[in-house]
Amino acid sequence: MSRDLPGPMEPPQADQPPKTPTWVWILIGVVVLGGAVLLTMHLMGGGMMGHH
Amino acid sequence: MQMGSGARKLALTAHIIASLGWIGAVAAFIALDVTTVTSDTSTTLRAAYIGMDLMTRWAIVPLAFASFASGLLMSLGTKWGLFRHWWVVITLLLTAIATIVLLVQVPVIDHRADMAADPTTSDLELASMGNLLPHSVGGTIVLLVITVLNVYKPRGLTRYGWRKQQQDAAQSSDAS
Repeated sequence: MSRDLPGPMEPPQADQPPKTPTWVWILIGVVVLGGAVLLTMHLMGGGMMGHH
Repeated sequence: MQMGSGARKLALTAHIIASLGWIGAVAAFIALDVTTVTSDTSTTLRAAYIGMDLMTRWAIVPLAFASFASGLLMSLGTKWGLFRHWWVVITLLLTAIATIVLLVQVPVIDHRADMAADPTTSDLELASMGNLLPHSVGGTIVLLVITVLNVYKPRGLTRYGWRKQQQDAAQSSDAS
């Protein structure tokens, strides 16, 4: 049997490393977006402006 | 090394108290923060800025550190681990970000309290100091997301967690 071909010792598909769940990517996106908005407000002085 | 049942419950109790206390303290901070936006009275503004500083120093910062430390203890001392599950990794990252942003804001809050306590600060200067609502409200949302993650514990192993699980399974099958 060629070494390149999958043999009986090859791990089954269920043993493949798990993919990163969708909710993780969504949460990372929301955090990055929120951080960008906060940073923009900070740099433009929105969070520090007076109230009058 | 995993904690015993008694130590785990003690650490969990401390973690819940510190984490929810952190949220509660930030909610009280927001009340004063809103006051700095809505009030025109000089004495109220001075009291609010000074109160925000005291609250930050004696409640929010200590509770943030306590929450972070007890969270580390809980993850490292239980089966969850620190880098095995995505919900733990994200919780760690969000807590670290929230704590860093908080520490960056401490000197700003301190400076405003000093100005508010200074009788030579004019009403106009006092009124133009502004608010920290984007940070305090944003921080509260982050803390609420962390709470939801910790309660629901959504599925999802990291690659490291998957490898450790494979190793543990191999070890237990070797032992049997």
